[in-house]
Amino acid sequence: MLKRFRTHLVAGALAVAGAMASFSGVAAQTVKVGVIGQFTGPYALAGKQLRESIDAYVAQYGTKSGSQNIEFVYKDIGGSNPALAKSLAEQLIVKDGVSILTGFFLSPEAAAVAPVINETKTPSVLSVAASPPLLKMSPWFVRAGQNLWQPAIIQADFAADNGKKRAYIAVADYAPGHDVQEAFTKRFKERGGEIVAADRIPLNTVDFAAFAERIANAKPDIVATFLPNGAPAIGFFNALAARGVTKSAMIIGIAETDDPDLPSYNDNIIGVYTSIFYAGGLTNPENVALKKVMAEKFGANHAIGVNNVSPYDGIRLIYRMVEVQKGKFDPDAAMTAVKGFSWNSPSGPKMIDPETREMIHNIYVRQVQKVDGKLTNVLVKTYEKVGVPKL
Amino acid sequence: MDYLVSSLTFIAIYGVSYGMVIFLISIGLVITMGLMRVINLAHGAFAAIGGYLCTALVSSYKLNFYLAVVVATLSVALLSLIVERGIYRQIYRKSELDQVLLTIGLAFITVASLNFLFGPNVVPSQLPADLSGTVELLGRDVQMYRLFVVAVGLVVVVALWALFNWTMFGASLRAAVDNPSMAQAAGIDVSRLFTLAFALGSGLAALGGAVGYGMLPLEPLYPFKYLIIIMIVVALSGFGNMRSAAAVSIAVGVVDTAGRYFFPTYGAFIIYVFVILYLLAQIEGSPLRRKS
Repeated sequence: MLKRFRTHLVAGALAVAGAMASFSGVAAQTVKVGVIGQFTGPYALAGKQLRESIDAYVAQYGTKSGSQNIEFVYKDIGGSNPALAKSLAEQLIVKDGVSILTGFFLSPEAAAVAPVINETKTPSVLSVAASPPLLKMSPWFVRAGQNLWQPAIIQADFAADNGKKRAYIAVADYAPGHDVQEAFTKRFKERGGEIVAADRIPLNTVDFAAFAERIANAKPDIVATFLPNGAPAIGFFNALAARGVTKSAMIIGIAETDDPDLPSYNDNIIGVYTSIFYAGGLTNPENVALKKVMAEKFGANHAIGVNNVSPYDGIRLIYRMVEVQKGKFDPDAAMTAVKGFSWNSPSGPKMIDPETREMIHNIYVRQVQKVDGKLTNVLVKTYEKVGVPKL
Repeated sequence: MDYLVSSLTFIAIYGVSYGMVIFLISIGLVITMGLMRVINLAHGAFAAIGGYLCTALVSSYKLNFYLAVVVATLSVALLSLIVERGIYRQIYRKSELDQVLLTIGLAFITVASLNFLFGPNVVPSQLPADLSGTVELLGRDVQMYRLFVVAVGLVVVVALWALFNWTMFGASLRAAVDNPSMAQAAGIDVSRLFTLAFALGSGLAALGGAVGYGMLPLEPLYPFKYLIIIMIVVALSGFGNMRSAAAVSIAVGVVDTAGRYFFPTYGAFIIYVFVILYLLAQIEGSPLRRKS
């Protein structure tokens, strides 16, 4: 009952806000964009990267797109808190009058916001959230980053392309880990491989020696993994190296050795592969320009991470949504403008699938090697125009 | 059969070495909680500071690893002397709630400071070359580092045992744990004893943080991340029971490792089952309790 009352209240407030917006529609030449980010708390690094990307994009292209100005309004979630994400989205839309939302680092945040934007028709750009079913929750979502199935399928393809037959899957025991396990298993079996075992590693694991031991005993020729960046990934790869698995099998992860994280590893990481939508070493003009502006703004040692690149692409999509606006913000026109939109991003050619609103883009396989005495993600193979398959 | 033997040797070697690290970072809290009845939730912070200091000395000042461990341990012990005199002294007679609030606040301050000074990422572990190698033991390759940790743990166990049983300090400490007012009446300077014991406990935590960083990666949230396992050891050992702390730590390490090895997904919970059963066995009148 209370919940229904609250929904009515929100709907009423939104209607009033909408009416006010339409009165001032002629004068409004500014589109406000709500940014829901992890600016403090355990994921503060991702929040910092999101803000850096917006700053870099604005430094390169200004705050004007088409005939309208763009203004960003920032809200902090400060941890894993879907309920707060929802209430921040309501605040941004009702009180601050934003027309577009972006941010969304964790998938549950996006899932919680879906009912709100369905009601208010607010186009929302997922800058990082990678959970496969998200886009089905709202027609107003568009993905700027990857769908987690994409890198997982390339993990399997790369292993099969290199003649690997016996895969051991070791993923963290949380929803993204399960998504990777599911996609990898299906694809690797289709390609004629065998899954010798699959372990779901609890997130609170400290000593990974037991998992390394299990993997070594199973004698796989490829280990597919997906663990949260930082302590879990570092502990796991150290344990694999200590048990000699890094030498005896191909290890392929997803985002664990992201450029900003690489200095946290020691030489045990050498030889590990990852499959993801960006490689720092790309030489396309967009990446060169992004590196230059990032270095100017944040210092020469700034390493661009995947959580810089997809939010940056998200801002590109937002500028595209605003570019087509004439007068009052039209959400339908905004969505139509990005469906099927293609452009060149620092991470290569991009296109939004007009049907699914998923990104069709390159997935890169990189290997950690020592180049000039420094750990570096070296681009090994590019899989072009990877879409999202139906699993 | 081969599988069984290799599994058991794995669990023995890795479980014991993991248990030793747990012992090192927990024993300090077992001592201070037993002696002062202070619920020091900031104990893990001393281990974190020790670890960070040791890595900083190795990576920035190119100090020898073993020397860095010693310097870090002594520095943290010294720091804890100051903290004890300045802060902890105020809360000995306060309620448990005050103690918990103050010490958890200290832990938060440590987390924020480490984040500010060293950044949010994990500090890479740079073990010296002679510890990264492997050696053949019980028919398998074992990392030298694991054996080094076990050796350090054993030295500490023996040293503590000697300290508590054969020295005046140990005798006074045992007396003060059992009955502080009686010890005071017998002419033991309990206040000074508190300070020394606190420094000893914090120094050992720092040693654990420094030696154990190959197993427990250093990150700003370290003081909270390992608090649960420290608390488990304290709860199972009983207040101030240093002798059982070593056995309990090794049991925790072995049970945890075995759980993860045999049941990877649910293995993390086995340690809690172990804790529940162990504690049930301690309750008077419990069917699990041995008749004495």
